[in-house]
Amino acid sequence: MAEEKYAGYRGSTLDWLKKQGLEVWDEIEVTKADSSIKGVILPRNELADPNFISLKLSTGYNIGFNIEDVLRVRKIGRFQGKYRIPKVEIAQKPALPFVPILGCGGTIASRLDYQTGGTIPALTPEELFSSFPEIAELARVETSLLFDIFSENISFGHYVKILTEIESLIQNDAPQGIVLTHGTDTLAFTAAALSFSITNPPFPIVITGSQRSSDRPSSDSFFNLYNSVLYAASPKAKKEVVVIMHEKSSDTSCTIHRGTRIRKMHSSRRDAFKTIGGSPLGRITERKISFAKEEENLSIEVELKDKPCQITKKFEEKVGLIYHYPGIQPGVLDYYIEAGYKGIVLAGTGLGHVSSNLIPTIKKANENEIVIVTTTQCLHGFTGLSVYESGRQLQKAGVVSVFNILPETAYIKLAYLLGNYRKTEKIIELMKQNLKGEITIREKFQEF
Amino acid sequence: MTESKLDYNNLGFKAGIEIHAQLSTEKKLFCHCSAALTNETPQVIVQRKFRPVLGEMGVYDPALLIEFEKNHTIFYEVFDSVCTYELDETPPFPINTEALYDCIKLAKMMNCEIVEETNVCRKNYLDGSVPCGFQRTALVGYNGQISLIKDPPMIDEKELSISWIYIEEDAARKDNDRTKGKNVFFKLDRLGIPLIEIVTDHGLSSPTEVIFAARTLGMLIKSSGIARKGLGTIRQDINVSIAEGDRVELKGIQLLQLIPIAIDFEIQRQLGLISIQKELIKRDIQPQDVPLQTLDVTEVFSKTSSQVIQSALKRKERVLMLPIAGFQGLLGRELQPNKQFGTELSDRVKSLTNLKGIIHSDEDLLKYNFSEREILELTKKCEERSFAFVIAIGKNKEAQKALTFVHERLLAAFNGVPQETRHVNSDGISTFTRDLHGRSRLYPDTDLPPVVIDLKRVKMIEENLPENFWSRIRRFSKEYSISIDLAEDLIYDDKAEIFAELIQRGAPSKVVVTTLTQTLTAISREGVDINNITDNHLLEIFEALRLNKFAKEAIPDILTNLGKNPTKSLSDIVSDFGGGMSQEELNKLVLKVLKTSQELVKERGMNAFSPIMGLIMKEARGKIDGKIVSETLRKYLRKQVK
Repeated sequence: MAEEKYAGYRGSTLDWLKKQGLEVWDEIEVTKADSSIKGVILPRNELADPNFISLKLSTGYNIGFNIEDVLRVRKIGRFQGKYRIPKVEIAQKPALPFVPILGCGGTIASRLDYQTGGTIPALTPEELFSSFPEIAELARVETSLLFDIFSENISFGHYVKILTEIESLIQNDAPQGIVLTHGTDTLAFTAAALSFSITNPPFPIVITGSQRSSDRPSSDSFFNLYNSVLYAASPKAKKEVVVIMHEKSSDTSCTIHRGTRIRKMHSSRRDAFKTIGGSPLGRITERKISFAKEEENLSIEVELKDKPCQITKKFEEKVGLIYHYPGIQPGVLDYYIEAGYKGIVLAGTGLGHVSSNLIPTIKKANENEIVIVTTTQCLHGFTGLSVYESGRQLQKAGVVSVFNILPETAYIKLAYLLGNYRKTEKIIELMKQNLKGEITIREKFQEF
Repeated sequence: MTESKLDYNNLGFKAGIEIHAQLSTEKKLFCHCSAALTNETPQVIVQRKFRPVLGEMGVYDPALLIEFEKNHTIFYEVFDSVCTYELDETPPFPINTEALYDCIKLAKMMNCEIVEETNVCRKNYLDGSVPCGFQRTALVGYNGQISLIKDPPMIDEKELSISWIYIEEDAARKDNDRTKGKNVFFKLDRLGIPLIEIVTDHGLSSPTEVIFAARTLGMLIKSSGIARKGLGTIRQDINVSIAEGDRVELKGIQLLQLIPIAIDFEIQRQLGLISIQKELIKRDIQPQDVPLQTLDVTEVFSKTSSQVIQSALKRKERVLMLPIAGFQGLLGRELQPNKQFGTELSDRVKSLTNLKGIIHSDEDLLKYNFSEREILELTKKCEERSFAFVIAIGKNKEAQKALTFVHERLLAAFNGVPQETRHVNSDGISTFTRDLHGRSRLYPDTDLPPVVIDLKRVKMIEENLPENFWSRIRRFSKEYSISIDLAEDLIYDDKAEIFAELIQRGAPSKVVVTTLTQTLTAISREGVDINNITDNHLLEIFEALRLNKFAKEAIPDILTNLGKNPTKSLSDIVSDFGGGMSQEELNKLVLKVLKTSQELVKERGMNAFSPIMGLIMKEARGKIDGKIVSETLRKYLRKQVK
């Protein structure tokens, strides 16, 4: 492949390499003025400055050199890196519970990609055990990579793919539990999507991720994955969709969160995930799972347990989530109406308010059978459109207030309901009902 | 310095040094925290575990795996003065360009080539000293050269090649007070302070040259004006080898005087190891004669009276033995004072496992309270393979691991000297810390894009480099007719400018020198904060001295007072001493004291001078020059005696 030889180089450096008869992985000696330096030509990140060539020196350090005033260059050898994670054969113990791990773009174990400077997931069990051999003590593990994309690119199609895979696991393999690894940015959306789409799951479905990539010795990925597998393999585990992530900055405990009340609250900290407006389901400390007292879990009227598992795979993709801000123009809403959207979630101010200049457009949307619900940007606390006159006006215009459901969860729930139900009244009724713990009926004082 | 008995020339001695120095920037290298240490008590303690990761080349660094197997838990002491970056909870901010260009300045002072595009790399450390598990470091300059200053005389006799100069973040400080067993504590304040690392080539051919190189680089760093001052801000490591030996890194040498002593001990150690290698050849022992076959000998000690083993057995630990063919007498061979080859095995086990050490057959086993029967049984166990063994006591897995490390080290003995890093103690004797790190622990930092160096800025730096320090010393010495040593001290301590100023204003040069070089140091040792004494204070003091406001003897007291009370004005402090004393006042005082000492004068005549002088000085000290007092007294006394 021609590109591989000059991976990442373009413009003048590409021409220069060609002219000198050099390619990536050649070991060279470059002379400039009265000094020379030796190193291996590395592939270059395509986004980096195009006038430099990357060199790896014998000390292991990388530098870039400008081709401009090179006096002499001499090829002295060739080197090719092998970026394979060494495979380790570990006999899986047949007596252990079966826990499949589904990779959804999140990195379990990884190797460094020289060219992009990013990481490539390693997902065969052999590669996984090579990095995290301790996992083999917990469960019989099988890994599969469903898709490998950044989590900000995940959408409804990917939810369907995950649901299909889970359906097949239920039918064919009867696992003790399953673990999904996922990028953290949109992990909460996926958790909500699976929560609403799977009724009465026959086993715990654990979603986990890491805030520090696995190419660092300090990565949280091992601790999170270990505790997730431990939970999924435990007979004590609750049969519902949960998220398991670091509880604190310390590598001492993980929190078990309900899939519908979770939110990433920090861009980079290990303990970024928080259960909002309630207590988490429980925690795992030193391999021990403990659950919070039942009454603290609040109002989970999850479906009757004797019903069989049911999986729906439909979502309405024409649903919008609009963050309200001062000066918002009605044209924003007009766009959604004209584009044929079926539902809109407003992240309103305070109790769920939006500017009164939107009211005529909201009325228009309502006439077009578009479901409009409002949530609060505050994240904590309930919406309340009856408190102020402006709220009552919104209600009159057709805005539905949905208690303390999180904006992102409301967005996924509305897409799920619009995908599976026809009648607007029914959809609105279900939007206001607590289906999967997404609405809590009481807020305890200490939980803020 | 005592002369070494070793013939370094013939041994093919080679050495290079690495110098680390903290930069005096306001902020840290990759975040906006103040680059300063703190005495605060930690607000929070965060607990972490580290795991080895693959290097760029797809292999684990063996030294990192060993670190991982120690199974340490790391605790970080978090202070108000650090942010989430130090805790590895926030990605790095762009590199502190002040520090980067300071490093370039130093590189230019050493005539280095400057890297045109720097790439921040990650250097893995699993000991917990960096919360990310890697230190961020970047190559800034290479291929430099400076004149090695031999002293005395100050002649540039040899060129010293500088291989590399790096900018990196300093690591966290280990808290030895809290660290216990597998729980290791670190203070996060030092983490992230910009650090430069200078690496010379291996061209130094004697311990004296190593001292010269360390001194030269130390002075160069100090004269650059970019480095932090104070204890522990400059640290040096030394790489040494001899022709038949191998490269060993000596770390933790605090004093320059210790360098030749530590090198001497190290070369003796290498010679000892080479003699063991030769002895093995003579005995016709091969590595395959030393298999890793361990025996569980716990049974032997079932009725032991050895305290060590009794308490181990209570903890359900095992006693494992590694019989070693052909090593009898070698385990006990002394390599450094009171350190045998067996100690090397033991140090290695201490460093790489959680065991406290090993017991070997060249030791006096009776000191462990082993009974003769027990010793005999142990001997029998390895009879066929001749009498040498190593015993490890611990949980089966741990003891097995210890003996595996012992075995590895024994095999290395067939090749003489293994490459390793050793820590030098205050007596110059060193202890094994770890195997040398490979380069698979270095890989690019994906959090930070490469930084293109601004060549215009480099040129500006180059045009404004500070005067070469040794030419400055020479110039200073000539200009003020002072010795090279004194000039060096003044420049070293940043006192050259105030010295020049005082001399130009006509202050007596002897008093100025004493004050700047001795008095300040002395009162600082007594705990006075001499940072409170400014150049202006010194100018004022010498002006007051010129006006006879007080005598030169009062200077130490005045400086002490100033250091302790920085807000007080000089005139207040001087008046605390009762102000100066005029000749007239002195005359009166002398006459008064002479009057009360009539009998003494009658009795001793001129010999009464000393006791009377003492009486007068009780009142006059610090207020008027002692010389004037003695002249005045002599005059009046002479009159009286006549």
